[in-house]
Amino acid sequence: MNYENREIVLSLKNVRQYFSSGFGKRKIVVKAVHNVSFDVYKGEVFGLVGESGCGKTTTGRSIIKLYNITDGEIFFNGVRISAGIRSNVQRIKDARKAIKMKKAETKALIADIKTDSAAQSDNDIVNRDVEKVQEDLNKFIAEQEEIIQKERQEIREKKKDNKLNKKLMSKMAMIFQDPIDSLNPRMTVREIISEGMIIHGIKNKEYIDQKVKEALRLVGLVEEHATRYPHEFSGGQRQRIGIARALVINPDLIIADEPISALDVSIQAQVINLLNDLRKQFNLTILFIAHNLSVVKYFCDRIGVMYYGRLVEIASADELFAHPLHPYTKSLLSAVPLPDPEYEKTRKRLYYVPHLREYTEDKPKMVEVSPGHFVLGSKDEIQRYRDELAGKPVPPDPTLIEITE
Amino acid sequence: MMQETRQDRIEMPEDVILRVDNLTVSFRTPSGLVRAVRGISFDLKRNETLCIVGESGSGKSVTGRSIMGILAGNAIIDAGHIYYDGQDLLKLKEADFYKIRGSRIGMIFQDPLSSLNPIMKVGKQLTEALILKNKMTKAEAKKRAIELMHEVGIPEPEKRFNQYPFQFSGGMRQRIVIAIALSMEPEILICDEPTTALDVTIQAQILDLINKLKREKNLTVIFITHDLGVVANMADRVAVMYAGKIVEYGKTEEIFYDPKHPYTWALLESMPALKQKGQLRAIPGTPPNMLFPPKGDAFAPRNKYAMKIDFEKEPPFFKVTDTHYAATWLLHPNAPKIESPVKDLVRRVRGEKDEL
Repeated sequence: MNYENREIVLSLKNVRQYFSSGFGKRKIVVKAVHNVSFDVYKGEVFGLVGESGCGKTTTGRSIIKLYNITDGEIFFNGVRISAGIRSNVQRIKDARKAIKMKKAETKALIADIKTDSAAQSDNDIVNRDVEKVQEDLNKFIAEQEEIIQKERQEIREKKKDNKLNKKLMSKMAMIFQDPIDSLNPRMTVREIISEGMIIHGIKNKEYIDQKVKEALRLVGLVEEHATRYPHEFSGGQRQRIGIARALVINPDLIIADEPISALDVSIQAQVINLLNDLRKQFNLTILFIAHNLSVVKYFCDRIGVMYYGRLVEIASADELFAHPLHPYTKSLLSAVPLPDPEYEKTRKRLYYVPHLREYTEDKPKMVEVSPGHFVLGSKDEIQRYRDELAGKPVPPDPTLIEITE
Repeated sequence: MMQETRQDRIEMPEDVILRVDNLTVSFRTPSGLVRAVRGISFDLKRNETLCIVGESGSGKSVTGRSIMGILAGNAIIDAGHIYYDGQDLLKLKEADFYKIRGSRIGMIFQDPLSSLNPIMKVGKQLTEALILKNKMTKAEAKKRAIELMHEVGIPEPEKRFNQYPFQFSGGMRQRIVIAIALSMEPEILICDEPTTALDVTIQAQILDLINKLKREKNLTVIFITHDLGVVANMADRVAVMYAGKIVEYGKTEEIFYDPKHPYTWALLESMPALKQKGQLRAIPGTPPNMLFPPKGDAFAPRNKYAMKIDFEKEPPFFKVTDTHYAATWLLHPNAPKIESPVKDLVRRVRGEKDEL
């Protein structure tokens, strides 16, 4: 697929989401999402995979502004909807610190000059030197103050952008994992589905009724279901209600957070087929968060693999499965169970042990190793990945351990 | 397979360790009797892994719990026998049952967090049974517990011994649960969806561990799951359950490469293969409500191959091979010959494997 000319719906730039608890010595900061950047193009399904606790759900929730992000920027339809100020605050702190240090330095320098002057008799030269140093300091302070002002201005702008833009956010909807917990048991299906429209200011009752009926039909339920309560439905039907609730506001982007993990095997395929049909019908863009790799492969155009809060690899679905490069992706792919006993009994599993390698000076970066295929790695690693893609013999990855049963 | 016995003790063949015979379990609920298990029979062969597959509500967990004698209070065992060591477990008094439960038949559950006591140190939970049942001293029990933790692959067992469950990750917790189950050295281990709450990579580790322990300790395993990929990895024999009945029973290869029941076909078809594009073949409809068990074949309303008789009369078990049975009228000599739609599935999966 050609991605060059396609419209970007969602764009994340160096997004960080930290959670902190406790104060002072006991303060713990959990870096749930750590420097994640990716773009989602119009009409595509972007999959996020990774083990539980790797931050994929947090990423989804940060995008729809259930959390305020710590740092980085999120753009939706070209407009900045969230921005974190941690880096600005950090830069202001750095500037203040620099001023303080420079002041102390200057003070020491002046004292030095003055003690030296005891030997010299020419007072004019001493005064000139002191003045020069003082001037240097003032110039430096002015520079730093300017930086601080600039950062402050940026923080103000970011805070303004962080305010909820209702009109824009109504173009984004979410489907949750648990179809039981995500529906209010005291609301009828009609109330559940229409809530989004009412919040966005639609008051015409007939219009709402008509939209609810339309949405129910779209997801394969019937109009009569509108007056019932969630407990009267099976798991698969409840998830359909969740999908109807997301669809009814005509979103551009749907964030689907493990929509099928809680469903029975025989129902999962129904819901995936439904999402696939709807996506084609409305040209929806979907951010699909899941841990079942065969479903992700089937449903997604591009896949991002997350590991401990970082994106380690982004590629098109076919490319990722044909040429996985990052050791974690390889171990993930080797763990997918396939319904074939003969294959299962001879399979090799790969374990990813990140501690076997240490990044000292060469910090890993996200690099495009082939068109549309990004991998996180240090310079040496990237070189190895490139060689691997070119089909050259490469030394085995030190962080991968092979286990044969 | 089916034979009517009314005794409390029977002679069992040497290689059969556990025999479930016509087990029928219902639950009393405010809305009526829920028929969870409706007459299932199978033989568990020594040192084999039997996988019970089915969706939620098909009665697979209830089967496991009946064998352990830990059914909920509102359960009624309507009929059937579970023979272990020649005696009927269902006829045993609680005073005798506790000698078998845990020490001869062990069980591990789905959610490792809720099967451990959150306010008790892991070491204490591990040694509890050893001290109470094996009459070990505390020091002996601790030594044994650390050995066990080492066996199930927990690094630094001496340090971990004094920690609480919340300090363990999901995979490590499940290892602790396995260690507790193995501490009494049971012959049979019942695993009730032990990896459903875990990630693929951790799941692979736990499955490897169970396979390794099974080999080393000559365990017989009943593995309850809904993931066919896991079944392919673990099972020697497979029982497919639907609506409280076993619909197909056979060796793993027979179930995966030559399934006969339309429900098994549908299950295998509805899984997206790694190479698949295009529409998934979903199973239409939902499982039946077991308050009102359907007449005839329970799967018939969702089955595109259903015949008239499927709605009227329950199909008996037809023998495919000596080890392979399926309850579907399609196997009746008078039934139309239907080409199995999953024949090309095997090829599909094979193709993938060459690519991966």
